[in-house]
Amino acid sequence: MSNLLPTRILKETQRLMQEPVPGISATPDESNAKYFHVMILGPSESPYEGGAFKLELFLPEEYPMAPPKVRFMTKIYHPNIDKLGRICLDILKDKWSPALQIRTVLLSIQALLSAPNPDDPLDNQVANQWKVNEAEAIKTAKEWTKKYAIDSN
Amino acid sequence: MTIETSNFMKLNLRSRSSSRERPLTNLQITNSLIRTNSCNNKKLIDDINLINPSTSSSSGSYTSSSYTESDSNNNLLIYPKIDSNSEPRRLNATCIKYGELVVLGYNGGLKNSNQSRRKSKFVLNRRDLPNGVKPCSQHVLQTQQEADNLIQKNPNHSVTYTLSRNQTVVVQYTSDDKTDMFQIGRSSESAIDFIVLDTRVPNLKILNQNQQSTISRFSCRIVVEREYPYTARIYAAGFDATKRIFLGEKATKWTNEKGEMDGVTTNGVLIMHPTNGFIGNDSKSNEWMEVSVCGAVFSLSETRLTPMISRVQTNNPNKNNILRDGTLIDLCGATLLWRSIEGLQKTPTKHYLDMNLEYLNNLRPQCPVGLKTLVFQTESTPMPSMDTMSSSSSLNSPDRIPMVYLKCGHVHGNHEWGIKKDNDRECPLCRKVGPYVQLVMGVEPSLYTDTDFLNMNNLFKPYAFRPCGHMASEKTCKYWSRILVPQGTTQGLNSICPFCSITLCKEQPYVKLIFQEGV
Repeated sequence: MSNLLPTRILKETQRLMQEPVPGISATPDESNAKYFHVMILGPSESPYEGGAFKLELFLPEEYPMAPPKVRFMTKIYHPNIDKLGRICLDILKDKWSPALQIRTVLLSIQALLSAPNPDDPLDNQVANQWKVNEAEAIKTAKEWTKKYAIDSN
Repeated sequence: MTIETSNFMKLNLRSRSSSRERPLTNLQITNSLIRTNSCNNKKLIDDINLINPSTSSSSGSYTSSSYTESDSNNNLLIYPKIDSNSEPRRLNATCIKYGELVVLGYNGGLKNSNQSRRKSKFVLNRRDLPNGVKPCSQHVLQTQQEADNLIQKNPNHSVTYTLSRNQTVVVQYTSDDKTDMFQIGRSSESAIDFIVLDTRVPNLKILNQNQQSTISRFSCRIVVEREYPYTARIYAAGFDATKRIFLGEKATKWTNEKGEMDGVTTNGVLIMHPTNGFIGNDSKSNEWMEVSVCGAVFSLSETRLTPMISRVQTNNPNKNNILRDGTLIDLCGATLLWRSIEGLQKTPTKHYLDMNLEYLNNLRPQCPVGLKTLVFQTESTPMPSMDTMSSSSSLNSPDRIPMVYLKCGHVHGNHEWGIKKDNDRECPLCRKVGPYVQLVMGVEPSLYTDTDFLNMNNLFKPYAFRPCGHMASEKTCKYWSRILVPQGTTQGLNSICPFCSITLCKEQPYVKLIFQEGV
């Protein structure tokens, strides 16, 4: 683990610490500079408002030629995030570009919380509920937020 | 000795090599009469009468002033006395620069050249002693032997036109102390001041590369008036080591309206004066014209593929053989740019171009992928090499080499992401797919059309030519994209990158560069 970190990762980390994105924090693990502890605050006017969601972000060996691996650790009721915390986001898959960064990925996830997309679901059950009865779905999302993402740490 | 010839000839105009062949044209020379007198080992020539079919009796123009004087005064007025006994004339020893000839496609350097006369750029300075020549007399002779004898008696410059086995015209030249002559060609003989070989065109592949050269050994000559404004005129063909020019039986020849013999060379010398000049704002390509041995200018047909000499010399005063700033000279295999001294005074310096690069480097442009600062080569920073796999922090590492996605102009370091078929790449920033090439600064200042360099704050916005990635200013890129240049013998007219001669992309010949500034 003592091998030199690429300039790219060093620079990204540095900037994340020096100029953090509002509502997002990302801290590299003490023992593994490619593993980040992430916290995203639920965007205002979303069902996740007030919640603090924990994620893990890992940079694979090929990064930035391959996307980072990101997962929600906090349970969340969202049509594009499944029970295991996996995220359905194109830029984390086939739409990845090495010009994207940890910062931009986390911003995209934050935006996904503001605008759930039930037409491209990862959790069919949640997505279905979102389509059939959006009000009920949002209510559930708020409940989950209260239950799992507020003051639960 | 008196030779009288009176015959009627039909001349078949020359056949040119490959596609530059001309349709046959018939020109007639009738009733050529000449008497050559020889006394005291000095030639003395009397009346030259070359009569055109159209004009019943017009005498050769050379007879006007110079010829008559030379005739009656035993050439005293014609040949300046520059012999070992007399004191050499130093007309003006201070260095006066007339202009420059820049070969397109070399970007200021010519690798593997150990000949001092073969360079990518040739500076024409006023000579210590004038060496210009001008025609003085025309002789019609029956045999080659007679022509040789005549020339032996007067070993000055001469042009020999072999019309047929029975008729040869020799035009003798005499020194002209008002002009300097500069000869250009493929020959390494000392008669050639500026050796020009065929330019390798990167994208014309094998077509021309291994073929015989199409540039003439004695391709053309430029005669410059020694006094301001240093008018420079170009003529087809150059004199060889024996001071002779030969136009063989197959060459296209004719008698002009002044009764003078004229002709064109095998692959020809073409010139083009760009409309609105080189440094103007709305400059564009103009008609390519062919120059004759006597400096007459003729229109070609639309493209070089089917050139045709029109019988009548153009009367348009703009169509002449006087070189102007920006005139292009095509020797069929290499294209030369003439920069006049006036034009050069308004042209950026090497220093200005270096300043631009330094400025770019100081912006610390970053590769959006590697997040490393990109480094352009300047005098002080050696070019990073693709081969060096040095440590990642080194300034020379490949990921610091500025590369450009040619579709969009986004500048990156060298990396391996997004490779598509045919070596195309997907730009990580905008996802456009297209070629991805290294950016190389155009460093030959004489090829820049910019004029606002005097204000050092006025650094240029960098653009790049497509498909080669040569970087230059917006004005320079736009200029060259509008200028059409003959390529080879069969490729017609194309716009080319002046730094490497590659044919520019028809659509989008250049792209504005987009740098990501360092964070």
